[in-house]
Amino acid sequence: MSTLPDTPADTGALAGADAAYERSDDALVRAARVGDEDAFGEIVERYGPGMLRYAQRLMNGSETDAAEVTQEALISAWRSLESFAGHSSLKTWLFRLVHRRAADQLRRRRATPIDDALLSRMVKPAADNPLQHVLDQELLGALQQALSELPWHQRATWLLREVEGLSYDEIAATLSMPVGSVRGHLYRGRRTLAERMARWR
Amino acid sequence: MAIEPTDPLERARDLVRDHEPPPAAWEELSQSVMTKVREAVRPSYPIRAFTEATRTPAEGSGEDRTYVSSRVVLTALRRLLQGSPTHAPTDIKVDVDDERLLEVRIGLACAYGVDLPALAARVRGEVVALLEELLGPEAAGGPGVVTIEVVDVVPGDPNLV
Repeated sequence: MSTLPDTPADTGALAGADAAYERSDDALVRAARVGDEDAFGEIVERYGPGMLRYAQRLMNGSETDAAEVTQEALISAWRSLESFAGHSSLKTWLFRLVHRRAADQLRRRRATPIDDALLSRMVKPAADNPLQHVLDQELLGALQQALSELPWHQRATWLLREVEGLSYDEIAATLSMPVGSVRGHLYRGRRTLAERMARWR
Repeated sequence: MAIEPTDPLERARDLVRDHEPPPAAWEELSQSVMTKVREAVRPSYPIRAFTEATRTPAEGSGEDRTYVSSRVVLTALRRLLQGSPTHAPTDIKVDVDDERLLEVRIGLACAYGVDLPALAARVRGEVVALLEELLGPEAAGGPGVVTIEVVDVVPGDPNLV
């Protein structure tokens, strides 16, 4: 086979620009769609941690299940980038992928007991306040318990709105439901969680 | 000392919101994802290359033949097309039939204010030059095999915005 040339673009304008500018989602999608693995790697680093956090809270705190569905969702995203039409934001599309896989996973399995050890690992230790750290662990455990008892759509809308900061329109696109339904699920989820957490006042 | 929410639900929400996966666990997961991405090989076809040394060998003559994978051509084209702030590729397709390059179709997003016909002519020239370098002048097929479609115009460098 012929010797292939080094293409100057490898170290050219784009590489230099990377140091100074962060590529937009549109630019990353454009590049990843034509096979740029580095661009897809940036997408993974930008949205992967949030997808993992969302999956973990959605799946009763299971770190293993969350990692599995996040990985499946990201690989699916790479394979189906050509079908991403840009009607929703990249973030919304990725969260929809992870949401669907989490739903499939939970359908296939029985409810997983909450992993208390995992919950304790979640909270960053407050070096100057061990008592606060213990309280935070317990508070977080109570929230995960309450979340796990919420109906599926209430749990998802609460996490997407309150933790991930998505707009109502983005949540509607992620969960494929009307905005009015998002408002309803969110209202009921907030009310139930507030009642369950009231004893911590 | 920072003021913290007194509402227990808000406090618990903030704990979840501030949570980041342990660096080692996230690194392991992201590396696993990228390994699988690299393993997800896209379809590729051999393209017959003609160089001076292997110029139009007769069938059955026993002369060496050189092939270049369409994946190699796609990667080289992508890198070429990502090298300028005036445009970025949105789609690159290489049509191969019977080991011969038939057509290269390129979709471009261009920066506002760029002279599009002049840009298309320049890009076509660069693409043809690259194909000739990779495959040889005869197999590259000349400017006629390259179709360029401008599909988007954006404010700024489309490799960044």
